[in-house]
Amino acid sequence: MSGLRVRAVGAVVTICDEGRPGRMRWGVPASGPMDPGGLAALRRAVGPGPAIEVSLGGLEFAVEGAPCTLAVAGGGFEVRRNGLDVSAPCAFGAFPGDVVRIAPARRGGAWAYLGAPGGFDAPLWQGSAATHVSSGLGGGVLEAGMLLRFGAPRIDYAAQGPIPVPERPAGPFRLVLGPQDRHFPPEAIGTLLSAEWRATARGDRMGMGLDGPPVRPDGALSIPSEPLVRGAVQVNGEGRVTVLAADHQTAAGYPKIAVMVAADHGRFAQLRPGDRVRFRAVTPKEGVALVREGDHPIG
Amino acid sequence: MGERGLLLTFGADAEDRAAREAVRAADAALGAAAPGWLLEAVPSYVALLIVFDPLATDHEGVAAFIDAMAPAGGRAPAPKEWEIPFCPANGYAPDLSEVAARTGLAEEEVIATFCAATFEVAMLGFAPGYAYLAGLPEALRLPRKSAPVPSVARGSVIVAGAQALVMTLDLPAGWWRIGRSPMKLLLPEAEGVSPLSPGDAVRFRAIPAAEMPS
Repeated sequence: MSGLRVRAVGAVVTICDEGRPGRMRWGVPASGPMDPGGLAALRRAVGPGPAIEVSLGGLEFAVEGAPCTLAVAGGGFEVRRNGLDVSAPCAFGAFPGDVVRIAPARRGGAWAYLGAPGGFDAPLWQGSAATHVSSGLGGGVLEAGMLLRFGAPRIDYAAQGPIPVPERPAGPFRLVLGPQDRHFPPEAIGTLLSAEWRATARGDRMGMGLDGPPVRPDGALSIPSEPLVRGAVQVNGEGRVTVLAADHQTAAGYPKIAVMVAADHGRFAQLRPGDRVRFRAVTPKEGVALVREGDHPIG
Repeated sequence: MGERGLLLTFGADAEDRAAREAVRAADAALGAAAPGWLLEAVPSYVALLIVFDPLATDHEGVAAFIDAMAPAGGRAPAPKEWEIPFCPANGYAPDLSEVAARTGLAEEEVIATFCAATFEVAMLGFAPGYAYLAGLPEALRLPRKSAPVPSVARGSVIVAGAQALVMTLDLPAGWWRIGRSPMKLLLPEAEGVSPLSPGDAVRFRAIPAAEMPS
């Protein structure tokens, strides 16, 4: 048996793949990576197969049984093999007895991706190893002491080295207003688009609450539970704003003032508590054009 | 809804049965037409979310397709009928005595009233396999609790407002627990996650604790 023996692990470090889209009609969100671009960068180094999404809580493991190339991509994390910095994002050889530690670096980023050629053995649910955290379905949440078995361990010299990561656009996160923007007075929309927001620690794989001024709808709304999507900007009764993420609930009765374009989901997920956030409205047409310009893959 | 979604709304009131039927008809018609750009359709009480491939069409294209489709009229598939067994005995129904107290009924009357009702699956959503069952009798309607219970066992039969639901996972819930069902409503490896579909009719049948799996 060969694989990674977990020595220490933070909260919400999970098995991950591209997710299971297309099942919201049964209450199942797509799940999958918080930062799709981070997982895509990992794929360029080690190919498909179940990978690990590492949270700000970090991960430390020992390699057991067989040598294998490992890769780490995604947000700003420092990766040390036997105490030496391997300069992530990169792929490197790991050998039985090696101890690898993945921890948040000083520069920003909240989610990193760890993979190996052939992936890790993980249970599938509905065709995907992606973890749905609130149910524990899918690959699951990592715990100290467990062995993550390699799927097909091998050293891939050609893959080893730095992983190229395309520059990300900076600037405001782009929102398509609606579907319930008509229930908000113009001042509320103005507040959403002009205020400086702050990312908070009230964040997990389901969504992130933002600190900022209240965004109040016209009167108390009673919307029958209706579908939600990742990126939906939901406003609760007190006017507090939450942006839904990969493991979002698939329905709710809170008004959704806007939806963030998918091209910005990964960059938003990589925010750390306290990071500044600004929004800008784009039309639905401009949102479609962003996809067609290849700013982001479907999903 | 975002750059790849369109939300069609057919009403404003969850109790509007015609709106629910219109949602199901549009969902069925869209499913039958199966346009190549359709990634998924998500029915709810009064709204249908259409998720499309923005490389293949756009919001206007989807809206035009729906307008052209409407006159032909979709017909939802014939609803199925389900009987869900549940046990309202001690230990499985921690809120039954309080529901009885708050509704002014005896516990047996709560269960008899509940079992006499025919529910309609209004939508699946929130969490995997959660089926919102519309049609809770007036006599049993209570507002949800002021604070949710942190972990309600899967299988729990819970009620609030005009609705009932059978929990499929151990999750928090602020509704009232009046029993537990041994029926599997989350089918991990089946096609489609849940056996229930919007529009299906559901009745409950009370079973003794001896029939519950240990």
